[in-house]
Amino acid sequence: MLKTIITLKNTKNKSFDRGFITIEILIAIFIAFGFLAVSLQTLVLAMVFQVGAQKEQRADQLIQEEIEALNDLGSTLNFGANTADACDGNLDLDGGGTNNDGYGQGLWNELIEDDPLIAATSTTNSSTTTILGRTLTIEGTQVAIPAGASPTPHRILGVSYQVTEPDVDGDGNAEVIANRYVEVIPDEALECP
Amino acid sequence: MKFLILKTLLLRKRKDEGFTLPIVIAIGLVMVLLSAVNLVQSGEENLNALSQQGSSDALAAAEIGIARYRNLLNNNRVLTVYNLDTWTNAWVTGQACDSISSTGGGWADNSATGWRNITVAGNTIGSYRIDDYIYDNDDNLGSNNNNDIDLVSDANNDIDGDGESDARGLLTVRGKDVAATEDGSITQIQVEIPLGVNTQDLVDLNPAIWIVQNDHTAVPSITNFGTVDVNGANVVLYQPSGEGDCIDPPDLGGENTISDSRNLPPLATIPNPTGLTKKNTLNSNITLDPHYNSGELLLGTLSDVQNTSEGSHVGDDRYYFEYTGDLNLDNEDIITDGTARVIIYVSGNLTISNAVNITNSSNAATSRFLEIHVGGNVTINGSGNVNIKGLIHAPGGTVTMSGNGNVNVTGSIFANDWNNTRTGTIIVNADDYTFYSITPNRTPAPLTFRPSGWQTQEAD
Repeated sequence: MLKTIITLKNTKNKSFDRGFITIEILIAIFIAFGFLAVSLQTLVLAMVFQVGAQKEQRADQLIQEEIEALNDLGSTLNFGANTADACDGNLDLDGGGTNNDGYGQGLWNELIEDDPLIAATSTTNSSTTTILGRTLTIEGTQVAIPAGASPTPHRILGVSYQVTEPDVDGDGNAEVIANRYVEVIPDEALECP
Repeated sequence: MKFLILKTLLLRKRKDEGFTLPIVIAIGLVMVLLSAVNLVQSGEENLNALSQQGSSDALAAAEIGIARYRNLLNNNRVLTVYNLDTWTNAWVTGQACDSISSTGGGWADNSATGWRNITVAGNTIGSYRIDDYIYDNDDNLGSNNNNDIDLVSDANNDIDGDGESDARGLLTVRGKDVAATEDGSITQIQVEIPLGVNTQDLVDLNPAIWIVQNDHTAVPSITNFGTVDVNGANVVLYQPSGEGDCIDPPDLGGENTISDSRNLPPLATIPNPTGLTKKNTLNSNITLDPHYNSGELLLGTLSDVQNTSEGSHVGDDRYYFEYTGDLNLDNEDIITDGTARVIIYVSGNLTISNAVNITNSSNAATSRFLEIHVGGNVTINGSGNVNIKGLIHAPGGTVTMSGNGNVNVTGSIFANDWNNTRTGTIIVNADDYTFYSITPNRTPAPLTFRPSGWQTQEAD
């Protein structure tokens, strides 16, 4: 059977197509390879976009969760201190012995105390989560409110959130995925004279 | 037959030449097309994520705007009971300490150029601006309720019968994820801010020392506050109103210091009721007063009221005495009985030299039973301890302390200025007499409470 086929091909196309098929196939292979390369590149690019989008969405979600928790804490915070004393900003809420903390600092202190995931320092507050095999770290940093923007008793707390993943491009720095800044006033602070 | 079919299928004819190439190209194009579709889908997903971040950033900027306007309303509570379109009127800005309408402030600017940048560590991360503020106390946003609020009782601002205040402010703020001058995502938030009577205002104000200074143009700057121990109360410093900046009061030796935009209460006026003794004039040399005995002038006893013109009871449970000119106390005491409420008005200066007691004979009585209003200055000098159980009120004068010796005050000292270089322990123990609460213009501004009804709206 196979012998018959080969015989037929050799006899019928001998006069017109000798050698053409090989060139045609070679060209086809090159073209197919080109198409394949482009398609694969496109697929990889699409995958990169998709992963990036998912990370950004997750980062956004993480920040929103933190902001909601902060707002909730600001609504329920009760220092239990004498209001008259609290209202002049002379609260030593961080136990540092300095009586100038105010309500914004008090809210921050409560925040870093309440979050169980946190290795808290005096100015930053972070936790991690994993998505698509990558570890995302969210970090909140207390931002000093400019003088005059929040007079005594320093009611406003400013927090800058940043979500990062471990170094990808080899520059030694974590890759920043999302940033957001929020300001919150503890409701209790508005009960002062 | 079988051979014929194979021949038909496999034999290459002239018209089939190049068949492989078109097939490969076609399949390749399909692959590229599918990949492109995949890429477009991923790109859209990425764009959606970016767009979502932009919207979230704009939302965060709007929430920052809400926080800052809540702070503004709290610092300038007169704004809470006026619609935004009246915030720039003089009678409103005159009661506010922030710059509401000036170029530097512009808090009331809801025009397209009214965006305010949000700057963190020198970088502008977004902007916000107010869209509207409506004060409402009748659940009808169409009606004008400016300044229509009862500041004494929440029940008087109740419209649904639950006894709670229904006064509210509707604050609408827009946020943008880029700087004020750029185009970006915009989110608009409206919140409802409940308003209520500030029942704790005068309790929290609690002034043991109250100083205005500077003709009410700036927060007092006190060079010589000295070492003063204020217990259970605040040092209140005047906060001027009208197109300025709400700023921190200076730190006075770690004492509780707060600012307040209300002026000092006025000097007492001597009542002049018909048919009663108009007032009681005391000799400026108290040693010549018939009630002076062994270094003490005893005022306000009920027997005196009934039997002499001195200490006449004018019908409101107070006994008024007037000194014309300066009152000088040098190793002399003024004592009240601790039952009658004695008000002394000194038109000139009050000078306290050496060891002096201005107090009452009842240990339980508070400064409510002795008020000394001084038209001029109050000076404490010399050596020896000075004990005062009462209110010293000199709204136009300076309290000057020099010399040495302890000064113990149970009550309050209100004055225009303060200059203390005295060597000794100076203690001000506040008591529960809130003289300032019974005088005019002490009405507290309403409090703002936790916003509710957060709504994200379409920004047109």
